[in-house]
Amino acid sequence: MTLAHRRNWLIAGYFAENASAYLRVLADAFLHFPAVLRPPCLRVLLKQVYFNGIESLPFLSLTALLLGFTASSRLYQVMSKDLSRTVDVFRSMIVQEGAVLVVAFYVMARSGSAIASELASCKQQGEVAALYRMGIDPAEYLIAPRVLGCMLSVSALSIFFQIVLVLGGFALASFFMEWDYALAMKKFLHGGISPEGALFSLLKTSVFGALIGAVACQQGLRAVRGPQGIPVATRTAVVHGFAAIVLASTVFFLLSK
Amino acid sequence: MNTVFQSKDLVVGDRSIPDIALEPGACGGWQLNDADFALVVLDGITGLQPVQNGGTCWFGQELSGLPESGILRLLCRTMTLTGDGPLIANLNIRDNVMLPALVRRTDSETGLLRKLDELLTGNDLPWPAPANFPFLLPHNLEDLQRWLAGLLRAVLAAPEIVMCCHYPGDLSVREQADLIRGFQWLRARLPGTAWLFLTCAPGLPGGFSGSLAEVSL
Repeated sequence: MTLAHRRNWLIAGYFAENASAYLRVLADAFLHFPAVLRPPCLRVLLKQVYFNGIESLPFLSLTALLLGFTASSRLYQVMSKDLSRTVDVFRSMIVQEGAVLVVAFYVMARSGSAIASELASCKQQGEVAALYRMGIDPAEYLIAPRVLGCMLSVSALSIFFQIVLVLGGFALASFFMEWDYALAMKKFLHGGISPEGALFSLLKTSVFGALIGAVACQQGLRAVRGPQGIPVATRTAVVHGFAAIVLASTVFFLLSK
Repeated sequence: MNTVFQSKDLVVGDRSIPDIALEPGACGGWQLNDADFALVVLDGITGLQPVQNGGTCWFGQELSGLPESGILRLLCRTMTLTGDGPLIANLNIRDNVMLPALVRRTDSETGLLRKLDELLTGNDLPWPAPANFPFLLPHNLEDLQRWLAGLLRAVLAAPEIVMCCHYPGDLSVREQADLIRGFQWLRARLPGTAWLFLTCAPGLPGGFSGSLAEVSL
C-alpha cells in the first residue's frame, strides 16, 4: 500500500469515526427529548434558546439588512437592471440557500463554540462524572436540551433572517438604487412559497441546528484533561460543525433536485 | 445508641456492602476516594457477587431480575455519597441541591422546595452563612458551606441512605468539630435517613476497624 493510499484510509477512518460519534450523540439526544420537559432540563433549554436566539437578534438583523442590500444591488447590476431575473436569483440563491447557511455558520461559531467550551470545562472539573454518580444521564441534562435548543433557534433565526433580508434589503436597495420597492416585493411574492418548500426549509434548518448541537456537545464531552483540552475541543467543534453544515447543505441540495 | 444502618438492607449474597467495599486491596488499600468507593460499591452489587435467585436484595427489591441499568437506577435512588463530585458551577445552591431529585423525578419541585425551606429556614444552619445562601453560586461559598450543600444534595436525592466519606488528612481539629456539628444538625432534621460514616478521623463517628453497619452518632 502506498503512502497516499494509507493517508486516504486514515482520512476516511477519521471521518467515519467522527461521523458515527456525532450520529450516536444525535440518537442519544432524540431518545432523551421527553426528559426536556423536566424543570431543570427545561431551564437549560430556555437558556439555550435565549442565548442562541434572542441574544443573536441585533447582530443578525444588521447582517441580514446589509447582506440583503449588497446582494440585491449587486445582482441588479449584474443582471443589467432586469428586476424579474434579479428577484428570481435572489430568492433561490440568497434567501433559500445563503441565508440559511449564514445563520447556521453564525450559530455554530457563536453558540457551538460556547457549548463545546462549557461542556469541556464541566468535564474537566468533574461535573459530568458527578452527574453520572448522582444517577443523572448527561444525555438528559446536558445534551438533549442543547440539541433541541439549537434546532429551535436555528429554525426561528433562519425565518427571521430571511424576512429581514428581503424586506430590509429591498428597502435599502430601493433607497440607494433605481429600484421600485413595491414592484420588487410583488415579483418576489409572485414566486410564492409552497407548503412543501416551507416544510423542506424547516427540516433543513432543524437538521443544521441538530448537527450544531450534536457536534458541539460531542466535542465538549470528549475534551481531554489539561490546559489544551478546552481550546482543542472548541476549535474542533467549530471546524467539524462547519464541515457538517456544508455537507448537510449539499445533501439537501441533491435531495431537492 | 441509635443504629444507623439496618444490616439487612445492605446484604448482597451473604456479605454486607461495607464488607465488600472495604476489602483490603480492593482499590489500593484504604486510600479510597469517592469515585473509587462508589465503583467498589457498584461492583459489590453488580459484579463481584454473582446475582442468584433470592440471593440479592436491596431495600426489599429483588435484584436478580433487573438489568444492570435498573440496578444502577435503584442504587442511585436509594443511596448517595456525600461529596459525590463537585457542585455544578453555573447553578446556584438551591438548583444544585434539587438537581438530581428533579431530573430523576423522585419528587415534585414544590415538594423539594418545601423540604429545602424546612432545612434552611430558622437561621440555625450549623455554620454561619449569608441569608441568601440558597441563591449563591458555589464559588461564592466557603469549603464548609459547599460541603453542607453537597450533603443537602445527597439527602434530597436519596433520602434512604447517605454515605459520608471524609479523610482526616485534610481536616483540622476545628473542621472535624464543624463536621460533627453538621452531621448532628442534619440527623436531627432527617430522622428517616440512614447514615453510613466512612472515616477514620479521630473524634468522628465510624471507622474502618469496626462494623460500619452499626455505626452511630
